[in-house]
Amino acid sequence: MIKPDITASFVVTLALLLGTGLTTRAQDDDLVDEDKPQAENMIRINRPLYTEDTFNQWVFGSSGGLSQGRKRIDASLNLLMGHLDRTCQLTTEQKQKLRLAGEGDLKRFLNRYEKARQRFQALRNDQNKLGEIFQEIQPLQHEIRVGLFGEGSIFFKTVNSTLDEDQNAKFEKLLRERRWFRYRAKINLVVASLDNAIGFSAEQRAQFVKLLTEETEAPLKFGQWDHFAVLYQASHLPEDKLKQIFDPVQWRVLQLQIRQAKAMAKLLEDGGFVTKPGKKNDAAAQAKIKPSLEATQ
Amino acid sequence: MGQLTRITISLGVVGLLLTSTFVLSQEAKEAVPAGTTTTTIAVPEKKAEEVSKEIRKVRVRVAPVPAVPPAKAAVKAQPKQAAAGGIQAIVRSLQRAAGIQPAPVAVEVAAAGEEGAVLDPLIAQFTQQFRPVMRSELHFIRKLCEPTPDQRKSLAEQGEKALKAVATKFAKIQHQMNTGRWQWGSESPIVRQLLEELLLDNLKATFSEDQVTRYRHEINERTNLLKQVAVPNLVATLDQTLVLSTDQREKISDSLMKNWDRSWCLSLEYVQLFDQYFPNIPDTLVVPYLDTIQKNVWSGMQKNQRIFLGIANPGNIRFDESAFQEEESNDKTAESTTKK
Repeated sequence: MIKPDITASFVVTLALLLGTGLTTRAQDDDLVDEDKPQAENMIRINRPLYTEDTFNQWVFGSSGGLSQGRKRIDASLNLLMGHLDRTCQLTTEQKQKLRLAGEGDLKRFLNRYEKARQRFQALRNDQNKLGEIFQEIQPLQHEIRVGLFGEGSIFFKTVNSTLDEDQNAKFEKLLRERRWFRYRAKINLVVASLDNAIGFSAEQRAQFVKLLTEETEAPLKFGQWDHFAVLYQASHLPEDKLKQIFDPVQWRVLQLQIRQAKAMAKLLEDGGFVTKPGKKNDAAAQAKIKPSLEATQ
Repeated sequence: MGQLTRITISLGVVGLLLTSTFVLSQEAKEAVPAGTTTTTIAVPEKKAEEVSKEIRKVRVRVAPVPAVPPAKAAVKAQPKQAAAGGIQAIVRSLQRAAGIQPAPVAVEVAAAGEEGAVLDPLIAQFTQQFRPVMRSELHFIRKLCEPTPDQRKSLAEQGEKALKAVATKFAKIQHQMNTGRWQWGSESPIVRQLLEELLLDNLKATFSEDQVTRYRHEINERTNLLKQVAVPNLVATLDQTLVLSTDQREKISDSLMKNWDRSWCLSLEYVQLFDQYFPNIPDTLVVPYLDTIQKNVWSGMQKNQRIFLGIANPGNIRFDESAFQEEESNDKTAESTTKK
């Protein structure tokens, strides 16, 4: 008969197909496409590890690319110009000179930026060269953080030579106020941090802050060593003045902190964060501090 | 049917049977985590009649109770229990559905011990880390409150209890962070603050009202300290970018003081990093005091929210435990002299 033969054939075929399919699926995980890893590797090489957006984010510390970075630098220059003008009543000629000087600093920065960017383009596909990329970027990051128009800049030198004596005195006064506002904030932070560890009374905190404010000087620069710069200054205070605020146990713990700051004397002095002992903090020294228009690091 | 056809059919059926067996064995292997053992969970006989035969006896894969020290067991047992837990949960739900009280499972006992095994090392670590802060706080209380010898003894005991409680709290938070269960907005405690609260609470029983009042006053003074330190530092950081006038610095300081939000700065360590991570302060508190150029710069400034630096940062402070040991041993000498 024909029908049973066809049915039987169908069943056999179906059984074979199912068995083959299941077997294939069961072993699917064991199949290795030897060509696949190579193909993936090829794709990996052609796709860059880091994009230009990433580079700009590293340099400028935020999104928006070079155009946003330039806008921020321009705004920073405008702020300084505005501040100078309000304080010193600049003439048109002075404004022009200072504006040109600021733009000169911007141009220098952009030249350095472009050099770093080209280096980045050459190295960005090589994970092993990431360190070299960051070596190129770090100076740019530092400039963005501290500002382009501080000591060493064309703008700074032009301010010195452009303002007359009266204007200089006014501007110096305002700079000193800004620096002292920041230093007092740092003193309070250091005393509060020590309080966390040593346990001061409210009266002890107030006395310690008063002593540091009245008998120490604002650092030449601010930055990551502020805590130690304050304690370094404290280490040069007459011991009896400091000691009388604290009980013997507190004094012993405090001395440990002060010794730690003293051990960093070379770093703090060489880095320009503190004045070396013996150097008088007179008007001449203060005048030297004045040009640090954005004294951070 | 021809002989050839018969042979073909037979081969096909055999082939089907062979491949099916192979596939099922593969799947069975994947369901069973390596290294587990088989345990039979028996159902109480008296209720067995009410239960279908399929769930009277169930074979499940259960992770063995670890035979190693608890700390190691906690780490080793986790992945196995994760695999076995799902099967166990199904079995237990079937049992409950049938009205059968599931038997206690060894893995549940291990779970409770496991958390303790995970937390204990963290508690020990934080206890050691925070002990100097506790000692300095006890010293502070001794100077402030001038306790009697009995009160000093009680103070020392309360100090240890408070230290253990604070270390346990931090250990639990750290464990949450390690297991991805900590979320922004969760507790981010400060060591000394916690110690103060616990000590103040516990000393009420043994200290006089005057002594407690003196201590409470100092705690209140410290409570506002973070705001008083953070705001000037915030304004100083702003000044570096916006070049503020003296008047602007005063007005913005006042605005931030009146509208202080602790999320801007969870502890003193955050103040030290304002230069890098400026918090997300609302425009309404700053912009009204700025000129047009400053407003533009302010709007372009990167502001960060949900900054979290971790817990228990020691900061720049070095501790000298020997300074307090001498005082504590003097206490012990005085105590033993009194007893004599």
